[in-house]
Amino acid sequence: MLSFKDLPVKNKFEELFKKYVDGSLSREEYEKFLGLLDSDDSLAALDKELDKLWEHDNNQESEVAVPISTAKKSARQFVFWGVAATILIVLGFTSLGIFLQNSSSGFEEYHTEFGEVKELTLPDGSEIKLNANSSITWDKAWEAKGKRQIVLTGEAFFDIQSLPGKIPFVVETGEVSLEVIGTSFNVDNRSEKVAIYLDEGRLNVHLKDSEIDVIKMMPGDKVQVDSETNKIVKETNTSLINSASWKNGILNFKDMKLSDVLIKLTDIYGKTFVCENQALLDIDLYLGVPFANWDTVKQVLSLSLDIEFIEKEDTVEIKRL
Amino acid sequence: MFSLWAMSLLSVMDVNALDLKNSEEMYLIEAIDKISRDFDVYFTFDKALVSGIKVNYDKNAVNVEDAVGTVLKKTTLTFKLINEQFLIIYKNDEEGLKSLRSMSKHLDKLIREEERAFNKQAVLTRMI
Repeated sequence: MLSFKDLPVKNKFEELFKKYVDGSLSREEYEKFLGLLDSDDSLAALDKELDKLWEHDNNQESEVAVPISTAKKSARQFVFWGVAATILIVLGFTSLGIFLQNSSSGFEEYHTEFGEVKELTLPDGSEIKLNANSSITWDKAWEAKGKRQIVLTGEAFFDIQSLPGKIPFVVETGEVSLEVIGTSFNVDNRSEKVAIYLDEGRLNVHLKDSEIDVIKMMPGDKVQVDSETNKIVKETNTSLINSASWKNGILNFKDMKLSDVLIKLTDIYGKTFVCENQALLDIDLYLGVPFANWDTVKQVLSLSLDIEFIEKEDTVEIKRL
Repeated sequence: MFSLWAMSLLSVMDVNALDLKNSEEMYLIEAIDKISRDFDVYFTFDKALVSGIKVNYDKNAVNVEDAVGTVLKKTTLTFKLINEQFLIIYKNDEEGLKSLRSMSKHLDKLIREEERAFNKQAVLTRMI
């Protein structure tokens, strides 16, 4: 049987090197191992053993690396798809939120052209007749907010539906805010003036930037607010015919200067009037005509005032006959 | 002879008394306002034309044309009724007539257009 001493140097070195790698070298063996390092055979054996180790390590590494690489790749893919899924979910919820917001909140707008009158029914059942050249915006989130709110520009007649729970109805127009409870009323907001006529029910008029907190209106009352001069005029026992006849298809102006009537007609028909005769503009006029087309109004005014209208597109010159 | 003259005088006095009883003196602007409310009609006029004129308003007038005709009888004004609801008061002179002719032409045209639209709708309804 061969002992350690009988082994060739190369084999001795290999055996000691294995122990060195394993960490099982004794002190004596370690000194022998260092002694063998000087021989050529040992260096060749060392080179061979190191190659083996290198290959072994590489093999071990590659054996482990493959699953690690796969795991890392899988992990990266997992993270990637996780992020993608999160982004998609976030985008989905955002889109849903925007859709829901658009469908149940925000504002709905209605408007009329010159010479046009529209009848509208709001989602709460309230009915609105919108006069020519006017617009309203309706807050669609009224149920969530527990408050019905409209912003008016121009003129409209309101017939407000009373709802269970007394959900308030507010009309914002110019410098005025109207608090409504089951009411029919007309609001005319043109030329820096707001005129409110109450036909039925109750109405509280709140004035912005005014010392007067609230004006309480009763049926037949008419309140006019001039936002330029802050002048407030309240009339009682007026009528729908005198205050909002347009609702019934009639233009009715009583004892008004022709100049003021022309301003009204500009709002309604979109015409620009030119008149150099001041005496003509100062005529006090009564006008009661069908709320029809401009041509009819023109003919009626011609006959009653002895005047003629010379039209060039939307500009109308007025002269005495 | 005398009795016949006395009887005719009395009958005239009765008619006048009846007229006075059925009429009420007022300013034309007030009469227009009253007619407007009583007959649910709308007027167009120059206020200066009717100011200061006193008229007798016939309380028994059966229609708007009679009522307006009566109050304008002794004035230089006349009127035109449109669509049974709208009245235009204007001067009964040449200019007024000229404007009236122009307006009548326009209104006739409007009426013809409305009739055509109505007839067209009626034909379409029958076809459906």
